[in-house]
Amino acid sequence: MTLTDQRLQQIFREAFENDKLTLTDSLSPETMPAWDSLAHVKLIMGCEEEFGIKFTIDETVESTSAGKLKAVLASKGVGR
Amino acid sequence: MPLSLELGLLLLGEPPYSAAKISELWELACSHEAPCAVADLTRLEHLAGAIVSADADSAPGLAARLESARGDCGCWLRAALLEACGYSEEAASVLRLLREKAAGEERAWIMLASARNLLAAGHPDQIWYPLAEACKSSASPRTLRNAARLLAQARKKAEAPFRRRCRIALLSSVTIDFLAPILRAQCFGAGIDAEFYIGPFNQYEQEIRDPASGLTRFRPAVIAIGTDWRSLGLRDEEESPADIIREHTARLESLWRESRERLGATVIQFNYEAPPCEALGHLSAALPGGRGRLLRAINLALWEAATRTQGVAILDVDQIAARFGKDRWSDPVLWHTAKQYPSAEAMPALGHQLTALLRAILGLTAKCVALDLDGVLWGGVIGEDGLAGIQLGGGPAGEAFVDFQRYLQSLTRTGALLAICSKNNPEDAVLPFRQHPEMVLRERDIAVFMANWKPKEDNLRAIATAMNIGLDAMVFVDDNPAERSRVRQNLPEVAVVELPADPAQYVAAVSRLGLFETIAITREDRERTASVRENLERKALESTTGSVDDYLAQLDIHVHLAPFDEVNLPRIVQLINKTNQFNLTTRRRGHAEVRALMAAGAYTQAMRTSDRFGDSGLTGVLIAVPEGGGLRIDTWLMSCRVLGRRLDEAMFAALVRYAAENRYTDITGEYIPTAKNSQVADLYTRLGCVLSDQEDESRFFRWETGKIFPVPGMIACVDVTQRAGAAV
Repeated sequence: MTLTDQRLQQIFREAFENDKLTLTDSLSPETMPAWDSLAHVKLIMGCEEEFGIKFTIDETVESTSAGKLKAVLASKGVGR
Repeated sequence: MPLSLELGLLLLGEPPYSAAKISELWELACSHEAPCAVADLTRLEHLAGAIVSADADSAPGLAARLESARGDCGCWLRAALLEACGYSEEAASVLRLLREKAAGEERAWIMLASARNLLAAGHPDQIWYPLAEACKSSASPRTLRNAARLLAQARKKAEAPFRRRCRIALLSSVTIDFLAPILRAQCFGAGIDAEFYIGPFNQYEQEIRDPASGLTRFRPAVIAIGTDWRSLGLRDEEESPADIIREHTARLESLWRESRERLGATVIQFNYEAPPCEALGHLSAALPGGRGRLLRAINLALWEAATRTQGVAILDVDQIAARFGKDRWSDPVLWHTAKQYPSAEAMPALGHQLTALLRAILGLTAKCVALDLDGVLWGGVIGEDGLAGIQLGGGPAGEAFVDFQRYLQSLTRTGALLAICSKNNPEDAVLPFRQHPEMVLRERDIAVFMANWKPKEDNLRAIATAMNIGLDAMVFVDDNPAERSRVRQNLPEVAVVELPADPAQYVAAVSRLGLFETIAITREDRERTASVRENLERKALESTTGSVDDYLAQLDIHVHLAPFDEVNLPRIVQLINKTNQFNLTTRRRGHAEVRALMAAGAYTQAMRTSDRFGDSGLTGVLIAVPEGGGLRIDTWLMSCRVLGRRLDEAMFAALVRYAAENRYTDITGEYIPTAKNSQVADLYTRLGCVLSDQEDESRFFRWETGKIFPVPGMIACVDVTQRAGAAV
């Protein structure tokens, strides 16, 4: 697990209030019933604070799985 | 030049790490002595996590190698490694050493880690101090959310200390859900156990008006109406601004009325931000119908309406947004995607000010600022530099101290008391107060003056005793970090201001805390300093006269007893919410609840008193409710400033007379013990009542009508409560 994954996993754990959660790319609203619109905003806000970045509207709307979120983070230079 | 920690971590790259690389980092962490920034703290925490997940067996050994680390970063890395390995007990003891070393966000981060590890190690009872400190120090939504979560977990294992409980409804025209956890953490930091109800998105009006709404079932004590400027639907420029102002104000006023009268709640109304991006630019505030001008006019109208209405406080959102920075206050992305307003980063600022207002409503306004002298009220050391050598006025640095003194003096006009708590020779300490021309504060502004060489915690205790207030109502201001840390450790109840090094920042540092926020300023508040000084003079007289009654006779005490009315109600509600010591039942009530008791025919008594040293104002409150042919004393309290003068007997005598003349069979008094009211445990027996019943913690006492109870001879009493009863 990379440091970025480690940090992202922590954001997921906090957003879903689950300290046992393991980050995998397939996590999404389809696989996780708790991933509602409020949880989604928590994830985005968590990433913005943790990585010091700002999501655009498109990035916010498109980040509908952990994998997609990681792709957005990578495109913004996180982990490089 | 040695490698910076940040660069070292960057060069370390991604895991897995070679032993050589880790060794290199360890050398760095051990020798790094600069304080940690939050960025370092998080990086090290993740690094520890990565090391443990790559090679869990080597982690304890690595942590042991950090025992020699001199700097805070090394200690932190060690704690993070221990935590990641599951050694919470060891992590907690390492963190304990770090706790008082940082300020601001770093302090919050370390305190939260300390609380987290203490909880994991099975010490839920020890986490309250670090957790509260984390909540008070942080302005990060994420840290505050995590603190709220930890609080919820810990409360399942141990009883958290709270000063007040409060049911708060958050109603809003925007998505306000994210504010709740942040506010919960901030309320905990302020000693408030907040239970929240979050109204459905933009349905505040229906919720307040519908007798079957979730809000009604929740039975809130406080309703926060969080309206935002967009919900008003104003155009850039409106044609009939006066009508719009009138309509909006009337609509909100009717919601306030409903909230207070039907729901019995105190209202916190958000006012409107004048947004920074207006197509009309400056003209938006200049044109009669411009939106910027309209929003400001509505805000003014709301303040006027709130001043007319008791039990309504306005949260100055426009000012909070301006202070935070309006460009960052709104986040257009979050607005368009989630109707979230204000931005995530701004929510702690909003929650902080909301908490300050809640604290004021619940009677938790701080009562005293205890001030160090050298480096706080002036620059330099009076004992060494002398009157002419200290920095005060007459130059940039000296002006900053004058400014701070002006701020403190203004605080005294809101009801706060100033005390001096300084390590100095007393004759040196008073010199500037008496002789320095640039001094703003004079001895009459200082309620209690303690200049000696005793430990500050002893002096703070003595000041609290002299003022008759709790340590939790005190704020300590000292420029010496060692003194601050010592007071924090010895008196964790005292609020300690993290004073910046530059005196130019002192005013902002104290004001930012919002500890002196009040919802109303009464006459008693404005004259409090004089009143405490008079009390100290009374004590001096007491020590020179023989018996207590001789002393009281010399005081020339006058008492005036009157029923509650609109004029004295704000002070009565203030006393009901903050009095702790002479308070038989400690029932906290808002305006609406007190009014409901009045309307239901309760006997009400507001006691004012004065003597030869001065007027103490409205300082006693008694409410007795008719019940089954008798009267039950629902509330009886007196301000700590007037205790020991047999005024309780004068108040009781009036009640006894009222009961007899209105043919009530008996009077029932109730005593509910709290941590602070033991001094009135035997009040009713002292007055001649008989213990009649016991229920849980409460004890009930009975007074049979027919027995005479006189007003003590040395008190001149005017009682107009009897007439009020007859009129009802």
